[in-house]
Amino acid sequence: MQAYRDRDDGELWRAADTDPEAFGELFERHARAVFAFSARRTGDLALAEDLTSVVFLEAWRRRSSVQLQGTSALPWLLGTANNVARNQRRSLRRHRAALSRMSASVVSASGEEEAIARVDAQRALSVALREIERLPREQREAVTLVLWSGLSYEEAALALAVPVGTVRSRIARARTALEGSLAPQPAITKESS
Amino acid sequence: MNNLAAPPVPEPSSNWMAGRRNGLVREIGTRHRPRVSRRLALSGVGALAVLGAATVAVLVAFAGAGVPNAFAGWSATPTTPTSGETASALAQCTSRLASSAGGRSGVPAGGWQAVLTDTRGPFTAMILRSPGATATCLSGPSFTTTQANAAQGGASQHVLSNGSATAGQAPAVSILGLGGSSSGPITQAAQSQLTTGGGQPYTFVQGQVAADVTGVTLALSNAANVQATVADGSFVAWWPGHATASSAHLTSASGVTTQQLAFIPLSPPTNPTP
Repeated sequence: MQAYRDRDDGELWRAADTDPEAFGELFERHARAVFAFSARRTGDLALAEDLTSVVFLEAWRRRSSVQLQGTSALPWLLGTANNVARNQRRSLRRHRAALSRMSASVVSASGEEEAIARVDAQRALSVALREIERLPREQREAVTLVLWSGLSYEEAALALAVPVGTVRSRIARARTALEGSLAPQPAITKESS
Repeated sequence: MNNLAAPPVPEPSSNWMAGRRNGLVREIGTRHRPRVSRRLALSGVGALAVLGAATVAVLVAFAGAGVPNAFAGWSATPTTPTSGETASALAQCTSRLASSAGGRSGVPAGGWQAVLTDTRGPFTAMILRSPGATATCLSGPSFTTTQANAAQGGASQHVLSNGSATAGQAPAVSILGLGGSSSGPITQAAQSQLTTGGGQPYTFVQGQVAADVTGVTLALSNAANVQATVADGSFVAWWPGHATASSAHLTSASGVTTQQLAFIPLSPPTNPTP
């Protein structure tokens, strides 16, 4: 709806208190990024679908205690997605009933081609995750947020609730740890000044 | 593949997106639904917000009985009134004002005219003026509340009246006076916290803004936004609950500015006048 498209995330976030459709617009804007993050964080596409829904349920549950910083809700949502993935069993249990109702809303229409693409993607994910598995969890999280999800160092710091310097050093250490098997790195981080 | 390059992830299907989005909206809509109060005995309590000095103000609150959710249908943005809605609310408001007129209150019995009307679903808030007095009124399907401010001598006092004399929470009144010394398009405003039928609280804000301001959106302490009705340098907004206005986003020809609001609380009257 046009009325929602003109509003920034902060406005939608605040409006969601009395207007569930405003939260629906936030889902529309960020669900793909949350899904991609969750998939890369867990290596499981089916699980990532459920975790994406859990992230938005958690966001709504905590909406009154969270003041968005900046104009985008994405850093906070990915920070929540990171925590949800870290405590996925507990998160899924908490929202099990809601997930069941929400899953019933999805009409499955995937064909053979889509199923094959999904298997391929699942395989690629598993390979990628194996490569960074030897990194400590903190470094893996930083890599997933900054290098794989495109957050700036500042946004990742917000998502992880750590200083920016900590994010920088975690990324640097991750690069160093994997240096031996790395091809030259493309400049894919987005830095905000 | 480069070790630190993002592995590709397929896009969720449009079916999945639409289904989960609709499921989410339905889910939180269910959780968001206001609770229904079963209390039938209603009380009206009110508070007085005095704008400026040398006024005597009287508040009279009336609440109807038997309505489970006094604020059902409320909207954070003003809505267009239905046919006859404004006229009906005006009749309710002036009737209440007439019943609270006279005595030491100094509230005139008649001559009231609506100068600003704010409609939110089935609720109408009004600012009214009569020679020597101003009033605010909130009228809904189950209650009508009026606050009257009448100039009287050099005194400044406020008097509270409970419409139905049943138990109710003590009202809280807070006033914001920013005129002159503080910069910002809102020159003065008053915020009242009241409770109506079944102990359901609401908060009412009215004030004056610079003439070039065309839009006022109040940011509340609970992170919600409420858009006010603005006309001729005045604005009014209200919302269910105890959340208070912490800042205002003001729209004018020169753009949008934000003004922080610092309300100065007043103690509620200790001896309500029935």
